[in-house]
Amino acid sequence: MSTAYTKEKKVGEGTYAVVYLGKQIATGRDIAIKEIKTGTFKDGLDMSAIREMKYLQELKHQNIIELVDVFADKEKNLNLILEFLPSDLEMIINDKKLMIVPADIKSWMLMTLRGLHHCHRNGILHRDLKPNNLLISPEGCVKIADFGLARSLGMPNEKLTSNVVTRWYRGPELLFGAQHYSPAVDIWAVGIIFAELMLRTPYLPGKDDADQLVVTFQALGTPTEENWPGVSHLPNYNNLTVYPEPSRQELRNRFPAATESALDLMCGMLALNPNNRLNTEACLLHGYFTESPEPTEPEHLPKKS
Amino acid sequence: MVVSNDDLFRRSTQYRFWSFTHSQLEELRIVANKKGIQKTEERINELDDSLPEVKLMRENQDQFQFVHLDEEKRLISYYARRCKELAAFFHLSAQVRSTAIMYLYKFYLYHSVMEYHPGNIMLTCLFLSAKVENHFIGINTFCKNIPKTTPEAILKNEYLILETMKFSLQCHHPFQPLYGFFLDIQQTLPKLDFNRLGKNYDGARELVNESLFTDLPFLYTPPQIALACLWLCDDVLVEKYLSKKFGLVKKSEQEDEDAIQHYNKLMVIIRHCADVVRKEALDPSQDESKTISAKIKLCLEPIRFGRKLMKQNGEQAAKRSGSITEGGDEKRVKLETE
Repeated sequence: MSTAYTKEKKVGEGTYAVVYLGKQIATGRDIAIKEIKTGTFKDGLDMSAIREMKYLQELKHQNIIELVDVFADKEKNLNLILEFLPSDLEMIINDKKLMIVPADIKSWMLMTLRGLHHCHRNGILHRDLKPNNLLISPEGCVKIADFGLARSLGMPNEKLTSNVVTRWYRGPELLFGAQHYSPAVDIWAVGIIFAELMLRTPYLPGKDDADQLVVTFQALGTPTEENWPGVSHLPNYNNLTVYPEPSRQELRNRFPAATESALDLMCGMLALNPNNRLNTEACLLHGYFTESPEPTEPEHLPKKS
Repeated sequence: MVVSNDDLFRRSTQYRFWSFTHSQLEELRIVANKKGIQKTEERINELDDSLPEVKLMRENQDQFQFVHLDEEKRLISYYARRCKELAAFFHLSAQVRSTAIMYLYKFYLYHSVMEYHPGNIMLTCLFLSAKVENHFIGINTFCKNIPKTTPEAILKNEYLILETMKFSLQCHHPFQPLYGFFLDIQQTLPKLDFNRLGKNYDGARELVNESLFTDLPFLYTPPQIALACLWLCDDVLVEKYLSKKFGLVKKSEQEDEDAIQHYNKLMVIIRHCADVVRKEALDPSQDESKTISAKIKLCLEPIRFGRKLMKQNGEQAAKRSGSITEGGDEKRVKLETE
């Protein structure tokens, strides 16, 4: 253990890391210590740990979890010192005692998109956005976390794996097994999170990969060559039931509290054809963020009770 | 506040931790080399004096040869070249290959070949780079294809390399900006002959590969190196493209002074980088590498030097008793006189 930090209690254990709470001794600041298990993997340091370290070292932003330090202890375990973030958006969505108003949703969306914009302008795809990877600081700020699946935008001919993103937040190009995709996969996930915040329940909860296609296209329509030229050549595009795209009225009925521009933004993020999906900049400049009500100040957002 | 791509680059670890001036770079290598010498001296001092070979060695310690600064650099480049070949063998992308090579060069800014043999470090750099750049190769597959190594030998250095990299693993190479220029040139100069551009783009990619065997990646940004490589293939094209980008095409009187200055400044950088790519890309021979490696062997295990002396003495003794004729080289003569 480094002399600069204390390790107080174990709060979680994943496949490649154990997470502890602790303090930075010099400042008294609360921190989380992610101790990467080394030596337990026959191929050396785990890929997820490598990705997390690689990308967090490059990304310093108020809406991205801060990697405070990296060091090795005597046992040669790798320790990632992260800022301490006590809750996440999933906890808040599931806490039925909390009242969430549209201005709160706008605030969380704004912070999420700002963090994501910073990832994308650095050429980094997150590839696993979901409510429990959007952590909340004690001051109420959203911090994008868990870069274990992230990757750099490569050269255009490079093949990418479509087996990314937790199922419910997976865009149609990934469901079809596309090997070339773009930052639009993250935008889709944020669009689904937006819907989930409004509904207070997961928007497209597919039971398995096949069901995810059905659930997604029932809600948003089946992509066709008309609205997405080339889609029929994607690996998993076959034997699809063609559902129509929902009418505006159907969407209004599904999201009764949403304003017209909230629906516009959501639809822009959930365009089936990834080339038509809004990018982070277009989302941030969207009228939704400038119309009333103003986004809630982070410190006044609902907190985990 | 508008954040430019330059601002973003200045926030990258490549800029913050791995960009140097020429003299900073030299200084780091001098310090690393001194550390290597000091470590070797410690190893020599730790040897058991009661052994005859150690005694002999102490008497002849002034003949012990350390690896010279320049030899370090050449041997590292020799293994950087081998790293490139090995990456090709595994069908790894330019990104994986280049990152591995950069890890190797970065490693020896803080360590000496007299501490860790670059033949071993190179393998771990490539194995790690494949993981970092998303082209995972299992350790067993990796080792099966490389003679005289084991998974343990490769994994043993992984952590050391990570630490030396200051846990900053991202590398930006000139390939992506070069591709960006390839696209932007087509936009900017729409009448350009595409075959000419395509041919020179391929040539420039080759030169980018060569630029890795120079100090350029530590001294300049990837787009600067990319432009220099393209300029080497087609100077007219690059100068025309840049003139247009800087708005210098129409020879009017109200040409922007700032733009001219910027253009000239960039051209100085491009010419300098081009010069380095052409003249300073190292490619030492196998013979040279063997000579330096032999020295490293003695530095890592100085007792071998004592044994070598014993053997030489033994041979000379045998020779003396067999015939009186003097046949020794300079070194032997010197030994005898002491």
